[in-house]
Amino acid sequence: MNRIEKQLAVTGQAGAYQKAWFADLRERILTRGEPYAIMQADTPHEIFHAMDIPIVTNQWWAAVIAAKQLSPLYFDFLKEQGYHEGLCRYCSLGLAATLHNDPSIAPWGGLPKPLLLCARLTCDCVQRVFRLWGDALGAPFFPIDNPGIESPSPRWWEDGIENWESLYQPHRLDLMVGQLEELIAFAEQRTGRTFDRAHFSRMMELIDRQETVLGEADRLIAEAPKCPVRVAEQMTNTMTAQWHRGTEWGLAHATAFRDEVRARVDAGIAAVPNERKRLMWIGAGLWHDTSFYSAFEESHGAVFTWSMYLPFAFAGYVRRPLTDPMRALASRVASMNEQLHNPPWINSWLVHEAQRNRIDGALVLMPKSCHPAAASSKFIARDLEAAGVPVLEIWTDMVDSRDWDGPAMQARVATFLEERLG
Amino acid sequence: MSDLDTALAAFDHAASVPVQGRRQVGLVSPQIPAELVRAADAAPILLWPQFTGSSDLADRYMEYFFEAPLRHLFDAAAGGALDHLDLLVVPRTSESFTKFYLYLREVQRQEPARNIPTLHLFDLLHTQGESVRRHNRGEVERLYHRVCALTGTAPSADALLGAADDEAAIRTELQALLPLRRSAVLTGCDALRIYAGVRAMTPDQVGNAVRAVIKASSTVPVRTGARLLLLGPSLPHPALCARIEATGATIVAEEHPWGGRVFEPAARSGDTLGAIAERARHVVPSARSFSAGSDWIRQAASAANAQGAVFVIPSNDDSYGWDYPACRDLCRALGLRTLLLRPVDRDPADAGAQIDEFLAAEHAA
Repeated sequence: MNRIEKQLAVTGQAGAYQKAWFADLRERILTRGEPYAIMQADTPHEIFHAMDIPIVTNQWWAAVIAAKQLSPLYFDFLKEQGYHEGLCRYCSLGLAATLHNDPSIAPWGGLPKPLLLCARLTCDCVQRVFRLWGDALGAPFFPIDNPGIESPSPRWWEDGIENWESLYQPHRLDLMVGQLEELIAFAEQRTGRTFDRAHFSRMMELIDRQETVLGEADRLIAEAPKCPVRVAEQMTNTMTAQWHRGTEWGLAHATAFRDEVRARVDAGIAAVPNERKRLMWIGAGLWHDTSFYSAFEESHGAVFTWSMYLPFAFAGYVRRPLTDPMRALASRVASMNEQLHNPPWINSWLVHEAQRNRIDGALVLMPKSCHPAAASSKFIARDLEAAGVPVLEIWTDMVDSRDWDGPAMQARVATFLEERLG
Repeated sequence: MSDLDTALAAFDHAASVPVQGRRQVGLVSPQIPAELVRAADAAPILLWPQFTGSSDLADRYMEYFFEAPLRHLFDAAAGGALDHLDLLVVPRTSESFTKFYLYLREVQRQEPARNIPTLHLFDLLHTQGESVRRHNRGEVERLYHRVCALTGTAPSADALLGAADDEAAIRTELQALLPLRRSAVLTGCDALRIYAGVRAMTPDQVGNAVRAVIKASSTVPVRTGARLLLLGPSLPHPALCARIEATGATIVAEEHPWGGRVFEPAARSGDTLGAIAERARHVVPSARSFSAGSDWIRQAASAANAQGAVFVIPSNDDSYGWDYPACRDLCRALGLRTLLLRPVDRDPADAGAQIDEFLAAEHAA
């Protein structure tokens, strides 16, 4: 895999901070034996941050395992145990490492017993993966149920900022607040710590400011004549800030990112001066081959300018007014799945984003083993094509590289660029 | 026609008689409590899975992971074939159903000329917290009130209690058939005919039909082939059932929600709405159920003295596969031989050789 030069100074800062945070997390959990939680990425981390309980995120832990090239070993092990190949890989790599149970191979020598595991039931596999994982680690699993929405209005990115109570439906918010309070009570009882509501409110205010700043960066990138920041660096800076949302560092980093983007736009700097076609990457990151995002710059002048992570920050997180922080958090937790995976929300939003970003073509990640991630792809493709944006499906997995043929995929995309984008 | 066939025909007849003079509410799965519809004086129409038919519209909108019966149902709903329904209720008991609901809504939004029935999402959840319990009770009440509004009926605690009592009475009547299933007098195919027909019958009709089956069964010889549990989430595939039982084996119990499990009794409480919600959450199996099925497998294997277990896992499965190794190991620990069939989505004949080989080994053992 070719390493692409980092063009922004803040990208290096994000990497350094994340490395230090990783070392501190490891120290707290492994050396000091502090209680910690294993959580899905889309759960309310804020609750645990407010209680100063460290968390290991399942998807991040999967990325750590994948980076050590252990995915094939662990997925083959799951198959040997009788778990069929069609099961979700993104959510189950951490479970596989625990079941494999070989400290000499596993990152950190394997995760120690956590305080609890927590996941939202956004797909049918999650409760099973986490129940098995909890059993294997000897820790309880706290599921957060995921109510359906009966009448989603399409333009959620406009309605969700100020009319979020009605958009996300009061009865669903009542349920989500109830579940979050049950989670807090459970964590308090397990740790003897108290949930600091004043700290939580302060965190929610910081998050609101951080997401607003990220929204400004997003608008700068969308409106610049040529994209000033490669999509891989957009992802790194956005997700590192999001990882630490609710902290002063998260807000400071988002601000530094926005300021550097603004400086590049003001100076007329393009990430790829040769930019002729603007591409949209739809779906989770291609974590096992991020160099793919730059593969068509030189040959075709085709630049990935959009992925969901940055534009989702403002639309998906900001809630005004913030008079009831717990209810605002509940509205984020309740709606994330619909916004990113279900019609009419995802297809309507992507058409809006394609037009706002002057997108010429879209590539849609289609992971065979993750049904939610592949959901709505036909609505997405129909609507984008109808809006004049050609679409190509990319059938692969985000973390499992076993079926990834980089050169063949690049050839396929090259054909798409030449035949559909002219 | 044998006496047993004649008795079973009462169930076939009930399932095929068109409803007249009442509002019709389509239920996409048995996970939706039919008593709520009856209490509102409407007719519940359980849409039994179809394994053949058109999927042209579904292919246009649905991704690869939707099972064939749901694709056919999507075609029927989006293509106008369900326009006799006054309401179509879809449960939140799997991601496939949820997407089915949202996809139909989106087709309706984008193509308003399509004659799609009015949709209702029955948002039943399966975790056990107090807030979810309140939410589920609210969802049961919301569905009841919606059907009442459809029929112009005033919501009534007495009507609800009466319908719940009727449903409980039907379940009690069906318990009388369990010994015939467990002793391999009735086949799994017979049972599916019964379960399909019961949905359109009153408790008295069920009672009479059950007694007729019991009487007719007195002259039916016990089948001597292997007694099998049918495990996994797969839908009631009549051809698969027939293919297995053509070998002389008998399916004595099935795990999926279209079989006998949905009629298992449950404790009652004073709160009718709460009891209906709790039964739907806890007793009726679904992709979101929290019981891993081990207690049920143990009990079903013991009650029927089962000798084998056939697991049927659809090709698009993303959930039961996590339970399978433990369930397989449990079956083996109970002394059951196991067979895994996957996929058998469209043509069970594809699985014929595997079934024959498994049952031949079973016989030899």
